[in-house]
Amino acid sequence: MGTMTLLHRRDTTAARHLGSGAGEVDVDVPFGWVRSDDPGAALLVARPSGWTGPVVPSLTLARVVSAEAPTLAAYADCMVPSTLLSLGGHLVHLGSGHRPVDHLDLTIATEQWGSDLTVTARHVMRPGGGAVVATGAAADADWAELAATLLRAVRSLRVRWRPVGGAP
Amino acid sequence: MSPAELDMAAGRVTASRRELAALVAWHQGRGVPGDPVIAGLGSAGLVDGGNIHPMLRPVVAVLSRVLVRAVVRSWRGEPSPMAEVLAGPAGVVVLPGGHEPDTPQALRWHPRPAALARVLAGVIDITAEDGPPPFDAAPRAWRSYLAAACDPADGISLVDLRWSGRPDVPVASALVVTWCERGGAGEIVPDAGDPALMACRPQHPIELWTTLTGLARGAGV
Repeated sequence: MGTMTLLHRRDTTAARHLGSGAGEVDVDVPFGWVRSDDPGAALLVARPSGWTGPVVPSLTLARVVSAEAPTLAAYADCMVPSTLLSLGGHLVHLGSGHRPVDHLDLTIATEQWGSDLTVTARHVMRPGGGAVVATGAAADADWAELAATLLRAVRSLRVRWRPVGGAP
Repeated sequence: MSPAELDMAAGRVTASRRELAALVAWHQGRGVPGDPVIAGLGSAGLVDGGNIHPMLRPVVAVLSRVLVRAVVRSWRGEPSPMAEVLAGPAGVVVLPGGHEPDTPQALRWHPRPAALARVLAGVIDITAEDGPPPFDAAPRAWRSYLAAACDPADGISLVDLRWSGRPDVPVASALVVTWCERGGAGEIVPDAGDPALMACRPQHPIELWTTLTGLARGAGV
């Protein structure tokens, strides 16, 4: 398990362009977490600096590549089974809401690469299709320590979609 | 006749508590020569000569050194068989079939002790949806909660998780939780005013999961 201090202060928002004129996405990165210079296919990857445990917690932003789902219910019907199918594990929490925007919250206890992880995610849907997901992950052994920080970060996800057909 | 069963095609092993205890004793060199229980396991194909079948070996390894013991008593429209979750350096084993020594146990084994919280969550199977808990905050006697959870019409589940994080310590109640089939959970806690009564405190499913991970972490597995 790892150790950190001052996890509950907000460091900064991390705005990223979604590309192709789709809009911008923001998330509150926890204090003491460092954004990766090379997030790969993700929009953002951040991890706590100086983490001493074997599994470094992470915060990730990504666009969701999936079939377009016109409604929140349709999106949930598609996303929940596919997430459980690809990650496996135990569904801890499933929730959805329309405020401040259409969103789907998922928390799963799973196993990846030989580590037992808790993964919590917020999906924010674009009306008419498309989504962005903020995902927080930590070892089960660290979850009690990090739950509040990761949930706060993931649920701070804000997306400013550009109108479909609008100027890039 | 031995209740032990080996179903290679389905990957299932079944054995009773009595058989498992005899097997652990035999494995540790404390067995009785000619033990009929071990002979029965031989007939079921779980012991061959001096060897334990590979599908049962990990289970025996866990049971040979148990550090954490969780007992799950549950009521889901009716009383359910007690389930036991045991963890040690060799992994996690679930005995889901109650406490009777000769009842067949459909064994489940997981190789990493760090999976304890997840395995336990799967056994308890608390609702994943938030909402109002089944009871308001008014203090009630334990039998009131029990009666509601034993009524199939109410759609209410109740679980008493008893826990011991050390081999020499008996299990004690660590979490009592109730939830509705449609979603919404609460923790049953002693009432502050009258210790003979208990109150239902709303809990989010993630908070309950956090409690389970905290228990496992505290036990050091």
